[in-house]
Amino acid sequence: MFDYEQYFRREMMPHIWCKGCGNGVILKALLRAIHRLDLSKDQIAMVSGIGCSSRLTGYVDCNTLHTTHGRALAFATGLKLARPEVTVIVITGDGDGLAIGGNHLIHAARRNIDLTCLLFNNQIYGMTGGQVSPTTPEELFSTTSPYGNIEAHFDPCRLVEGAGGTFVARGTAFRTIPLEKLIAEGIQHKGFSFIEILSTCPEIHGRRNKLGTPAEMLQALAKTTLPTGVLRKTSAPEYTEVCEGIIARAQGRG
Amino acid sequence: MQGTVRLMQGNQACAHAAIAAGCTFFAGYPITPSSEIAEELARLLPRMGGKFIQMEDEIAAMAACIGASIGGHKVLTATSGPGFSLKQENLGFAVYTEIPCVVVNVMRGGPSTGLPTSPAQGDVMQARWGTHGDHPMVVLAPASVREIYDLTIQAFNLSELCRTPVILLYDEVIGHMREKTEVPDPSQFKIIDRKQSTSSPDAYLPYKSDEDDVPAFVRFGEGYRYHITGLAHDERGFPTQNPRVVEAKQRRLHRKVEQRREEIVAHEAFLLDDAEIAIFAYGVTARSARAAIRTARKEGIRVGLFRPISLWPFPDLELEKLAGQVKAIVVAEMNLGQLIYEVDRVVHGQTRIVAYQKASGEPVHPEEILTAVREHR
Amino acid sequence: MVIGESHLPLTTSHFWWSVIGRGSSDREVRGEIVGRHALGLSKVYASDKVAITVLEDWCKGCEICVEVCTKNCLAMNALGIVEVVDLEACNKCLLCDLLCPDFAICVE
Repeated sequence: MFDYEQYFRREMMPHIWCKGCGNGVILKALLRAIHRLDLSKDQIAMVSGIGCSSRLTGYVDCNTLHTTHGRALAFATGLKLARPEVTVIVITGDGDGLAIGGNHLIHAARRNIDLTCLLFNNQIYGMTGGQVSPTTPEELFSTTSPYGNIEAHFDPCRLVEGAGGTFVARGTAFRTIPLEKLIAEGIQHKGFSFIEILSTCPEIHGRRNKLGTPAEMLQALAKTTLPTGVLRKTSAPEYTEVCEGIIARAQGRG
Repeated sequence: MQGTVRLMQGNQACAHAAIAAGCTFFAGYPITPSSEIAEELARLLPRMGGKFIQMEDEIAAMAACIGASIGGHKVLTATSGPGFSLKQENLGFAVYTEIPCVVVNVMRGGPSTGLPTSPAQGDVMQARWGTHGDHPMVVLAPASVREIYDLTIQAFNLSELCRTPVILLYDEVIGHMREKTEVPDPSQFKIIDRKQSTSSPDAYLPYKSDEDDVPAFVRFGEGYRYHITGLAHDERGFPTQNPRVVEAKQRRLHRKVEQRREEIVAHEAFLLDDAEIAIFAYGVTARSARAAIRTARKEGIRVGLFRPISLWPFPDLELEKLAGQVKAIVVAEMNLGQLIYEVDRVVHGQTRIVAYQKASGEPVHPEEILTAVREHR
Repeated sequence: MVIGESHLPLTTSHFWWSVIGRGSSDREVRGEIVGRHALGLSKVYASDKVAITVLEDWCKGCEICVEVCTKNCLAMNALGIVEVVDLEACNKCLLCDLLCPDFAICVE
C-alpha cells in the first residue's frame, strides 16, 4: 500500500477539492510517480498558477510556489535558470494554462527548458464557479455560456507540438497507473515535458451539464477519442544547458 | 581607491551598476527607451557567469525575475510605461511574498503607446500605486548618469535589506544621455545581501520576522521545503483568511518600509539655506531647475532646489521644514500634476504652491522655470 | 463483533492498526476496529487476506469507490461515509484505493 503521507503537508490536509474531483486522483498519481523516480523532496519544486489544480502546491511537502494566474511557467523558467539542479514541476489547468497562460506555454515549449508541465484539463474554470474555458466542448452550458458554448475548443498537445515541445503526452485521471508512468517519464525527460491530464469537475461543470456521478465522469474519460500516452518524444538542446554554453562562450572557454 | 572616469550613457550605467551590486539575473523585454539596459546586460551577464533571458512579454519577465530571486539571485528587470503597466500584477506578488527585485522604469510620454522616444514624468503615481491592494513601495529617482549608477546599487541594497521590490524611476532623457561619469570603485560603496535564516528546516517559518519586521530568507532547494503564495498567508506561508493574521501581515509590510525611513528617504538641497523661493523638481526637470536657479541668483532672486531622490516614501519631514522658510514652492513636473499632491499635503497651506506642468514630450526648459520663479518673487 | 477505540501512533509510514478483537456475523469472519489515526478517525476492516482502511474524517462521500468496486464490497452508510459491506468479496483490484480523490480509502 502506497504511503502518500510522506509527501503531503499534514497540516494542510484534507484538501479543498470538491467531493469526486478528479484532481485528487491525479495528485496521487503524481506522488507515486515522484516515488518511482526516488527523487528527494528537497530537490523538487512545484510551481502553480491560479485555479483548482493550482492549489495542489499547497499540499505537497517540497519547495512550492503558488503564483499569479497563467504565469506559472514564467516563474518556473526563472527558478529553473537559477537552480537548474532542482526538478521543477509546473501544475496548471485548462484556463490557467491555455487562456491567460497560453503564451507562456508556447515559449516554454519553444525554449525546451527542463520543466514538466502537468495541465489538469477539467474543461471548465471550476474555482471561480464554472465559467467556460478554451477546452469546454461546444454547446455545453456554463455561467458565461448560459445559452450553450459557441466557441470551439482546442487540443493543447498539438499546440505544444507546434511550439517545439520535445515530450508531449496525454493521460486521464481514470487510467491512473499509466498516468503515473507518464508523469514519471515526463519528469525524467530532459527538456520541456507537457502532459495534458483529462480530469473531471463533477460538482460544478458535471452537475450543470448532467454529466453523471463522479465515478461516471471519471470512467467516461477512458472513452476519449483523443490519443493518449506519449504523443511525441524527441530530443533537442535543453535551455539551461545552452545557457551554460553561452556563459562559457562569453568567458572565452567555449 | 578612486573611481574611473568614463563617458557613459544612463542606461548603460544602470546595467554596470547592477552587476557591481551583485545582480546575476536579468529577465526583460525590449521597449524603448530602456532596451539598452537589456542589451548591455545580455553582453555583460554571461561574462560574469550570470543569466540573461529575453522573455516573451513583460509579465513573463517580471515573473521570471521573481522565480530567479526565489532561487537566490539578485535580479533586475527594465521597462517603460506600457511594460510597467503590464508588470503591475507580478510586482504586487513580489511585494506580498517579500521577494527582493529591482525594476527600472525609464519613463516616456504616455498614456498608452504615447511617445516612445520622448521623456515624461507621468508614471510617478503609478510607481506608488500601480499594483492593486494596499502595499508600500520604494521608488528612487536619479537625475544624472552617476546618480543612476549610485541609485541602482542603492536599489539593490534596499531591496535586499527590506525584502521588497524597489523601483528605479527615471525619464528618457536621463536614460539616453551620455555624461562624463566617475564610476565608483567597489571600495567606495557597500553591498547588502538579504538576511538568511539561521533556523533548522523543521523550525523555519518563512514569514515570521524578528523585531526588524523582515523575515529571514532561504532559497529553494536548500532543504527548507516551504510554500510561497500570493494568497493572504500566515507565518508558515500557507493561505489564511484569519482577520488578525491578515492585518498583522499588512501592518508589518508597511512598517518594514516606514521604519527604515533613515536608510530609504533621500533628497538633495541645492542653495536652499537662504532661499525665499524653492523649486521642487526631480529627474531631468531638476537639471533645468538648477540652470534656472543659477540665472535667477544672478538676478538677485534667492531661489533654491528641493530635489526628492526617493519619491516614495516621500521626503515629507524634510519638505515640511522647508515650507515654513519660503514664500513659494514652484513644483515643476513633466506631467499635469502628480507629486504636487504630496507637496500640497505636506506643506498643508504653510506656503504658496505654484505648479509648472508640462506634458508635451519635451523637457522643461530652464527659461520656463525661471519665468515661474520671477512671477512669484 | 467488537468495536474498540485505539490510539494509533503518529507515524509517517503505513496506517498502523491494532486488533482489539474479532467478531463474527452469520456470513464470514470479519474484524472491525474504530481507531483514531493520526490524520483522523478511521475504520479498519480486516481479515486474513485483506485490510481496508477508511479514513472516515476525510471521506467526502463522492461514491467513486462504491461505483467502481468490481465486487460490490462497498456501500455508503447513513452518514454518507463509505463502509465495507462485504470484505470477503474483495479481490484487491485496488480501484477504490487508486481512484479515491481524498486519500480516504486504502487496501492492503
